[in-house]
Amino acid sequence: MQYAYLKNKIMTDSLKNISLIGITSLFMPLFTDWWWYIPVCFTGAFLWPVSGVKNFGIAFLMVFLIWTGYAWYLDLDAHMSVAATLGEIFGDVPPAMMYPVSGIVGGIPGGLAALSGYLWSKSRKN
Amino acid sequence: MHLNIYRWLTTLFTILLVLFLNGLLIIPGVVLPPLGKLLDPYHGVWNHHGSKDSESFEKHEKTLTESATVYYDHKLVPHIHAGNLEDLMFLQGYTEARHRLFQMEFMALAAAGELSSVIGEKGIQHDLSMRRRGMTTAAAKTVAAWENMPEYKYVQKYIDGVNAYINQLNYKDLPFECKLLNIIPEKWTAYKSALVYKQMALTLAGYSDDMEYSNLLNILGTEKFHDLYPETEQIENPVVPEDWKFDFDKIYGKPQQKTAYADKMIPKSFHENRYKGIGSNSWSVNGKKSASGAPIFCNDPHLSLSLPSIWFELHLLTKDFNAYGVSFPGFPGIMIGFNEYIAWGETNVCQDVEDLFLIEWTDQSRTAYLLDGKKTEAVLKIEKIDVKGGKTVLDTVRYTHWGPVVLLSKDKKHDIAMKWIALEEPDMAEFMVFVDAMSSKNYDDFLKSSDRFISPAQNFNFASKSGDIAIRVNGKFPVRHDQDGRFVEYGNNSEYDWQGYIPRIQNPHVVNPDRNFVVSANQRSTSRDYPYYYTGLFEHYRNRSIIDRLNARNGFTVKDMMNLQTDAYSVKASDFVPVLLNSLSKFTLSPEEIIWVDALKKWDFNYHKTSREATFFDMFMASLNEEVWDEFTPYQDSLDIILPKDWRLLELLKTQSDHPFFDHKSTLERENGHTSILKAFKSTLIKMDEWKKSGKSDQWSVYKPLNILHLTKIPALSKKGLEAHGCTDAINATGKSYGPSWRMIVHLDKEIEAYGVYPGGQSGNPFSPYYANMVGDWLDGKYHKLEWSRDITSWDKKPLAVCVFKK
Repeated sequence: MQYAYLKNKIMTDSLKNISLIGITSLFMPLFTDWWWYIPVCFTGAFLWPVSGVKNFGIAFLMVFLIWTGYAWYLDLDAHMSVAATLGEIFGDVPPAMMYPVSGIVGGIPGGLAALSGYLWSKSRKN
Repeated sequence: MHLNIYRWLTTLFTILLVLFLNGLLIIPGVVLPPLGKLLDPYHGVWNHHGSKDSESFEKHEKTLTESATVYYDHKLVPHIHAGNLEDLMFLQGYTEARHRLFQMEFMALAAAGELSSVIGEKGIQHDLSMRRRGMTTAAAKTVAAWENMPEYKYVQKYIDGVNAYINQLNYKDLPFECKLLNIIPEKWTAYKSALVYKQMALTLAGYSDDMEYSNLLNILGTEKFHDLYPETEQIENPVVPEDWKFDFDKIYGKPQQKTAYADKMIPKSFHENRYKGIGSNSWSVNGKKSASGAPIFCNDPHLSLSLPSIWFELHLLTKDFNAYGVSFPGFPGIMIGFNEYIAWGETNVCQDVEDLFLIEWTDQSRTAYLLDGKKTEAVLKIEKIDVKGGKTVLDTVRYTHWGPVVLLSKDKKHDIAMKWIALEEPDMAEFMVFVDAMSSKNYDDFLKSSDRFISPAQNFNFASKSGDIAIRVNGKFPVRHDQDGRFVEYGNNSEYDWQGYIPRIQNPHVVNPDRNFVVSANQRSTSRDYPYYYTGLFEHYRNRSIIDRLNARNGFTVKDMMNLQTDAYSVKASDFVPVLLNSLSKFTLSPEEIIWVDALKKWDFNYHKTSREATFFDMFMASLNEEVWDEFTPYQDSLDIILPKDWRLLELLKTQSDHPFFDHKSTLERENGHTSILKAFKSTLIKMDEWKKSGKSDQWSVYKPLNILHLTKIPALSKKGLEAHGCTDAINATGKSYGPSWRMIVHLDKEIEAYGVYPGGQSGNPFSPYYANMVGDWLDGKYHKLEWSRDITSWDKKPLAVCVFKK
């Protein structure tokens, strides 16, 4: 019973974190700088802590997917020329790699912000 | 306890990482772009797909006195229709900033010696050079003078326009390179416009061979020096025709005693702005030479080619005038262009207006020097150079009677100071030259506006619909004694100073000459009859090509002029090859050698991009210079020297085959001109074989490809390995990274028709379709019709965008 409750709570809290990042990504970048998701990831993990690894993973993956996907979508309009140029500037990185590279650059601070949020939440409860 | 530490550590690390990715935390020695800002798909570089360039919009602009419209044609050329000149200047500033903001900002940073703040340690040497040249001091002095001139309001309007664009920008809208280098463009100022203008002066008139010639004078002695380095050659076609009479009395300043030249060797300098590939062609023919009976004007300035392009093409109109041409982003007006009545353009005069003086310090503190037998204090200015990712560099620039000290010696006793015309305070509204040209209707108007031009001295070429053609060597030139300005001079006597300036009215100048055309291609300004002495780095071949063609016949059409501007014929090759072949005919050659002799015999001296003979001849000339001038080899690593000019080498080969310099010092036998040619020929065959073994084609354009580099030199933003016709001494003067930066032809018939092309594109955005879209046509020698009608419905293609500015 308690196991099922916990499993359900983890699922629910994870979904809440995912939804928060996903929904805010639709409007927050219009008003703020590139780091808009840092406080979002922190707040989500603080309010709905799951586990250090999971909160990091959820935030990292969400930001990674948003950044990678949106960068790729925008570059379609430029016939992939931005990725090709950036790849050359960064030392012959294959153009297609530049989208996930962007995702990683965005995802890591997002994940760390979520981990911080989780740790602050836990220390408060302890 | 552990949790408490971890939460703080993780939070701190997250904050530091965000600061680092935002470019606010700089790790010493690490020069990386702010990756977070840069790669953010919402605001960063992924937004530069280029369609914004051609977006239409409508906006309110309170500064304007009347509403105005900017129509963009299919090349993204803005056609700015404004109610008056002030509004027009505002919109020129706005439009240039819209498309070339990074270029403007980068040029200003480069001229101010602030590149290190964005590119790190790589920029320090450049920045030191700029600071020691006194660029910032000169720009500040210039602005102080401008501000007191009534016409300054037009510069202010231009600046307001640039700032109106900058003020509405957010990070997302910044140019790609600004994001990459983390540059946030600051407010544009008159100081920045002055810097950009000084940068142009530096490119065109910021050089001299004083150090090289001083060293050579000391190595060779007077007699040998003047034998190898005469100032004028036998064949001369000056800008002002040789039969032109100078009917004026020479004006001198105070009596001057003969200058003393430095008798010391000057070690290799850090001067980075060496003159290379800079030059231009411009000519006009009058109605007697053209098929239509109307003048045809042509201009193609040869500059270091870059992306974004040096030039910005634009069409400026008010109720009072209708002018089209190219501007230099950061500076108001049209520099090379035409209106409904006249066409104007420039080529570099190439006279030396930068003199070097040897300063003798009183002690090693370098604070006081000897002048007229007295101890004179230098004015010291501490220059602070911020270095991205590195320590700030402090440098003391010492200002002397002559100007700033540009070269420091190791002995700390003797340094070199520079007197340069561009450091002088302007006494006229020079910025109005290219603004007033737009409304000039005849030669008198144009003379009046161009009278204010100071530096960098230019040959102003002119043609008008009324049939006049003219050329004037324009700018401020010092009065000198014979040979002054050619060598480093002693700076201990103020009487060695420039003795005033040549009165403008006595500048070389010709209107409607008998030969029915005017030409300038950086050759000497005048015949030796001109009363004033001058020296410089003049070109010797292109002018002959042009003059020969224009002299040969009448009935020129626009198409003929296009062919002439893109002509790859080398007069130098046509001068040399018969002499080389004549010498080779005196020897027995192998079958392989005979193949190349035959190829050279059949060569038409065109540097066509597929020519193998051009490659061979180029290697041949390099080998011949190595063979003949071996006496200079020991000095080349430690001293700045230059080899004698090719035209002098040819004179010696033709007339003094037994000249002592033909003898190679390292051999027992005694070489002469003929044997030197044979040795160079054999050496060339070996070089050709080595080149082919590398697997590369020996075609000219593969051997010497053309590169158009981005201003930052980032290869990904550049166009490299381009196949171009031409060479330095052909009319189509292309080189490693330089060439005709804007080809323009204006047929001043009843209905003016004009054509132009440049190796780049209107947009400064590397991802825009208009970034380098004209490069292909430029390489192929194709031209674009310039749409200069007021009525946009008459254009061949519909406007790309319409931008409305409401007052």
